[in-house]
Amino acid sequence: MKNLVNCSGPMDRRSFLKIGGLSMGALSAGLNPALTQLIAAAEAGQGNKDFSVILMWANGGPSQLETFDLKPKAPAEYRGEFEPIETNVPGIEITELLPNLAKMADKFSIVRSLHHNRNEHSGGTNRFLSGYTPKAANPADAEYPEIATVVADQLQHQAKDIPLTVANTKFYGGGPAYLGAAASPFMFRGDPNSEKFNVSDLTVTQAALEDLNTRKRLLGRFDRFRRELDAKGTMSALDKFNERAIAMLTSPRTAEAFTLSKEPDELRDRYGRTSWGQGLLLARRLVESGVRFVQLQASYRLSKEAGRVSNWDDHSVNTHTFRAYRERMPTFDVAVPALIEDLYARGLNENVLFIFCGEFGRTPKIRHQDKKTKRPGRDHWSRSMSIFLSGGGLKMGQVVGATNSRAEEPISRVMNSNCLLATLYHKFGIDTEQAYLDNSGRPIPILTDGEPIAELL
Amino acid sequence: MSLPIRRLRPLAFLALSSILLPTTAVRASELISEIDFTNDIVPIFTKLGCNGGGCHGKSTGRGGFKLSLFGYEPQLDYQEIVHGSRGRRLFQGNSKRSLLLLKPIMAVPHGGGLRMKTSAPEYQLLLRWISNETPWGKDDAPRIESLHVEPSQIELARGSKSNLKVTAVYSNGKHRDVTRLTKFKSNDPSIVLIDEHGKLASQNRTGQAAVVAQYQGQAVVCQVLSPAEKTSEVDQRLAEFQRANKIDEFVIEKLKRLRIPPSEPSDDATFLRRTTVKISGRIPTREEVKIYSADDSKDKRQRLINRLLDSPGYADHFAQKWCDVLRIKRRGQNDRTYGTTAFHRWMRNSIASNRPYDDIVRDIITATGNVAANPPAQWYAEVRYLDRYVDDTAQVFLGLRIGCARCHHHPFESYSQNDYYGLAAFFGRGDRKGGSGVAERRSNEAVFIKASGSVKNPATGLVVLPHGLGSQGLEIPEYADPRQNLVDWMTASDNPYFAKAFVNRMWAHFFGRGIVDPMDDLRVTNPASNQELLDWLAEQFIENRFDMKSTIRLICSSNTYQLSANADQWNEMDYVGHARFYPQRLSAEVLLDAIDQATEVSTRYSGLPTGTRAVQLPDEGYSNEFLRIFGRPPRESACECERSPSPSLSQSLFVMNNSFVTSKMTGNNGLAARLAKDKRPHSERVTEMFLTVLSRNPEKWETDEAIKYLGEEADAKKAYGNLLWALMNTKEFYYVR
Repeated sequence: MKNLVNCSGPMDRRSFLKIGGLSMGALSAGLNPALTQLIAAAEAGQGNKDFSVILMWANGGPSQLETFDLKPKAPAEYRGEFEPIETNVPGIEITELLPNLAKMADKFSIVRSLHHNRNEHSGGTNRFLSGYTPKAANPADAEYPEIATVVADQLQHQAKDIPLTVANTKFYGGGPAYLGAAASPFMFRGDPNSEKFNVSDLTVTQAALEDLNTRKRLLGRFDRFRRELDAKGTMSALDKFNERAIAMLTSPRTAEAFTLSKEPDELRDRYGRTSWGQGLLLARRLVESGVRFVQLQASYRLSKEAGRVSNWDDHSVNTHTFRAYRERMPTFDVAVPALIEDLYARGLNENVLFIFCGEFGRTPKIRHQDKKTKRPGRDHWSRSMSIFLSGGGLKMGQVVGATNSRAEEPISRVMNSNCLLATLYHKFGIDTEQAYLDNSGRPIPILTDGEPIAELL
Repeated sequence: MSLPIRRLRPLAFLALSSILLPTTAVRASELISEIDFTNDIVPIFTKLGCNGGGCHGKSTGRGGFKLSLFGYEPQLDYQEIVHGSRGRRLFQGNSKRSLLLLKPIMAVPHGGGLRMKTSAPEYQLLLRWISNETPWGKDDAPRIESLHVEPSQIELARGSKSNLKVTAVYSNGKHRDVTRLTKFKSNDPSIVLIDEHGKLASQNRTGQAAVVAQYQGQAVVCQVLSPAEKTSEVDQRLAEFQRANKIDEFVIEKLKRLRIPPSEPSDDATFLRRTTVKISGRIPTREEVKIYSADDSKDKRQRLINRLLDSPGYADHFAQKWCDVLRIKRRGQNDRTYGTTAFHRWMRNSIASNRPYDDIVRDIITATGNVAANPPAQWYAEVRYLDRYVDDTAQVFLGLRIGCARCHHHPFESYSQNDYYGLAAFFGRGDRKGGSGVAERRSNEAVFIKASGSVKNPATGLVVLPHGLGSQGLEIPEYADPRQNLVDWMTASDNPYFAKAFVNRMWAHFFGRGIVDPMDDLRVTNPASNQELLDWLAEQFIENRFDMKSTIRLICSSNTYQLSANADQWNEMDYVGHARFYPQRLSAEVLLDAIDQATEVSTRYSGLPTGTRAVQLPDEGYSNEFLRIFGRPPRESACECERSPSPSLSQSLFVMNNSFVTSKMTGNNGLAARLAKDKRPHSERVTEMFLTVLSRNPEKWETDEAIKYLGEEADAKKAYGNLLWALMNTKEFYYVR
């Protein structure tokens, strides 16, 4: 727990520093204070210990008007090509591109009234996922820690033999910022839909396992340096992490979680033999095994006609926005309904929250800037965005908030996007008043604003 | 005091009588005086924590109630309390029913919990203030001028108690005991605890601590020493400690007072590895170990220090250190590598040629032009806006974290917004042109100075003249570069921060902990562990005309630096007094280079020649998973703390199971494979492995263990690979000790 501080009354700097550095009990016990805290926290037990999140991240910014907030009565240059369709919950309508999903609106909720204030990708990502507006324009790395890294830091005492957070990609504008690299998610490589998919860092062959046991034994013989001599406690922590790493590598749990072939073919087919389908199935296996936050960046390679990009940044210069959605959404409409059904069938919907969103919404008015093709596109729009949620023990089958007639801005239940973060922290049992010291020593609370979204709780 | 006694309403009178009962009651002089909001009421909010940054002192307030941070704006607080929310916080008809009182006693729900009881003097004073129709006080009321604590130094035997008394001196010369309203904090509660009444209680540990007392924007410090019992063995060891230079005098003086004996001097092999890593950023080679251990001369340590300071490794290692905090960053823009590479080379050459530190700083801060013509200008590529000029200059070169004062009075120091914008004003004429890219990612711009340009304090809207902290505003003629005046102020021999910040940074580099710690946070409320030592080092640095190598030479030549890391029953718990050397983790780059060197398998960095080492990388843009996981700083801030020293699960997994690391140890090339094919007896090969990896000869038991294991394993390559893996995962390898 790096530089964690609790706000209960006087903000006192020394005590903040103490928690990050040395503390009395820990020192006199010769133990790493962070570790002592971990142990104490683990013994105390707090929050919903099974709550976990699968975040499907439409990097680039998905369009509210092509997905979950259609405006059929808006002028043509706003509403676009697609019509809304009814779902199995009266009053909830989504895009016609998602007919399968429309049959299960009782199992999802849509929040249409979030907004924030950063309109470029990495800045918007950092703003949306951290709750703070970064100072730099287009920062490649987060200036404030993204939620998954805060969760990893806060829940580290619960980690056993599988990483707490797993991601397929580092988001542009994401990262642990002042929490340090240790809070980063475990990144796996490769396409879960590929035959060759495996996670070499986390899995060992039988032969390698034997080697590892030999090495562990040898290390035990030679590593005689007294860890108590390091008053900062990093040596104790190193030993602890080494033990945990060995546990992780020697336990079959992690390797199995990543082994999709353990799933019946029929179920794998139901998710769709696509990166998204198999990625979501993998995510389900991971949260079942104890991972608390899975981040999947939803890349999708579009055809030449649609624009040949892999992200969701559907400017006219990048894609033909309607073609792009026509290409993507059928895959989405297989993978996501399969995941939702699967979560419900296993009762995981009580604890596992699936979220689909991106860093912002898109400009309601269609533009045609691309000189050559004049194709339709939409630009960046943080003033309104739609968030799709399923499960997590939240109330499903509803739409929270609404935007105006052109989906330009929220008009009811207007909410800072931090309300979504507050909802997640609430479910994780993480007190957002706790503050971390940034690199200049200022205490930065996990969140300064945003209330859990009451309709969902 | 001759102020008239106010006629009190019956309710207030009741309250009054109850104040008189508790033993720690408000003094009579206060009872009869007219309450002054600034002097009497605001300190209550500070003491109880109401106006802290996490509570109502937050810029947006909390629960609809907003106070100025730590009470620096009493007028605003008065408005908020008396008139805010249409006056609903106070209930004149029945003062006790005022929300201002009901909340902190939790008579109604309060997010901040119970802050006081109705029996507390604070409660009684607030009640009386409300009942007295919330007086603001006289505008010419005396204001606090200074704060004093008695005693300011105290020796407390372990497990004993004492009291602090805090006195405020006012502009009318009057003294007032404000102990009751003072906020106290011990910087090491394992040494001494302090309660809200100023009662000290030393704990069962030997050591030193500082107790900070804060009242009304003023802070004072009481130094507490908690010495061990007198024993002849300890006294003898303290007396026998050899002093190599003045550093040792200051350190041993402190240790004597604490009765903590220093450990024995480190052995040669340990000293060689420690010093090679700390100066040159690499582990010693086998040959160096052999030559050094064969050297019998008396001045071998001194010669080693000098040799290392003149080696290329020194320039590489320290160039990297400075490029970290100066944020030499590519930001994914390949166009920027011209600038980052040029700056890195300039910095490296400056360090190699030992240019005076003040010259280097001047070149950076006053840089103009394009990086191609003037590499130091690269600093301005990343440090872009007015606030960052100030924050980075202050944190890197002055050891001050002044950023808080951009928006409000600094909570732990005396810096106001005006001081902040006084520093900002030095940069008021700076501008840039040309280049390509957007915002932070621009490359190859030219920095230039306009004829004029000023900076306003946003709180007052008034132009602030450039001035250093605690100095007068400067009228700077048109066309002059005010940044030159800034550097003049910084590098003047009487500047209280510049030299101290540097020597403290160097101390932290070599000892793993600053004399002031964190190293870039010099302030009254964060006192030095050894002020005399810090002052002396800074004086030497100034006297030696900012000669960086001389500071390092001084530090490394001290017997304090050369102590062993081993501990005994008396100094095991010491982590401030330098009774022994504190082990430090190798940084990401040094560790990777050490792995490369020990395994004899080098790492490639894209676009750089084979053999380039991680400490030589000019910017953050050379992607390498190992460096990322082991905490290489992304250079997002001016703080060395960005370099994360903490172990993590990802690191352990990476070292155990990632082929990038394991293939270096067990592949077909490199040390293990070479030794496996070697025809010499196991014992000689094991010795070579120890010399290579741990820079020392193996102990007999180590050789025996190793030979025993090598005999068990049929496959020699695998056996040597596993042995190498084990040695490289020892704490001895990961740390300098």
